[in-house]
Amino acid sequence: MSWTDVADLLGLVCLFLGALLCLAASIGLLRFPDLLTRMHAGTKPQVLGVLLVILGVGLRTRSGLDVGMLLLIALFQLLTIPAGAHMVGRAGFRTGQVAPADIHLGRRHRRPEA
Amino acid sequence: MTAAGRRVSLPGVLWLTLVWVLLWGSFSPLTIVGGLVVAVLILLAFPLPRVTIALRPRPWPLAVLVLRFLLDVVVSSFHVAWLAVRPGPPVRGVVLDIELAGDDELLQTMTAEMVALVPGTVVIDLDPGERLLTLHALGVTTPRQAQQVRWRVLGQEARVLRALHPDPAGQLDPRRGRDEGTVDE
Repeated sequence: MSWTDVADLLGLVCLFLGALLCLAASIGLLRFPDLLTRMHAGTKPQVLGVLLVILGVGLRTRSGLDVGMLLLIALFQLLTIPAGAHMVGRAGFRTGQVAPADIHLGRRHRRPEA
Repeated sequence: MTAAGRRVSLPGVLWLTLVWVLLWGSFSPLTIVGGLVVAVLILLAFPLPRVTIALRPRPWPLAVLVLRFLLDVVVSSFHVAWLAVRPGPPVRGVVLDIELAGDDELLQTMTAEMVALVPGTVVIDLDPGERLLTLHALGVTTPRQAQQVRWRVLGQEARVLRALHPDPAGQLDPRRGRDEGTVDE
């Protein structure tokens, strides 16, 4: 087995795991009961799934500029997915679709109402 | 320097040109010149708000931050994936808010972005003035579990502050919040 075979095999394993995680994310989107629990499914397994797919594709192509493009995709995924989930969650929170905070931790003082 | 000159910064132009070239996937005079033109146009058309960046990166805490974050992403992904496919009733969660220790808005934002990807939490809202982070915790039902979430978030923030803030000890001093509370009254 040469190094390219090893890289191909690792790439295939990454692609497979990434696809499984994306599948789990979509099952979570269907099964979870409300907006905020669905945001969990849409952010975490989704991010790692996409990162693993990108890693798998990178291991199988191995050309400099393509790897650069893949790194760019990974970077923007990591930057935009939390921000997007935050926007959706906040919109639901502020329009009253979600119950207000039921556990307050560490708010030691409230500012006087001005 | 004119206002337009301040907006079009050299690092910004170079970064956007690099992105453009990578997206085309080829180094050629056409993509490089095209990238420069597009970069300047973007910087002129969409000026960024001026952010005062007072960060001091430290190599070792930064490495701890990045490695721990990658580990957390892996753990939380498999955790949520398991919660999604396991048999039984669907999982629920609670909304809780947590007071952060640091007041640098950029670092608060970084903390919030990272908290959104680590186990069990999605960020809903961040109030920089009050240093109040509102988040949703998955699979939390008891106050004790909520406390554990709080320690995890504060630990994440401490790693961000230690890696990048000029004065992490001052920000993380537990007495700081109380002193400010009396000033507010």
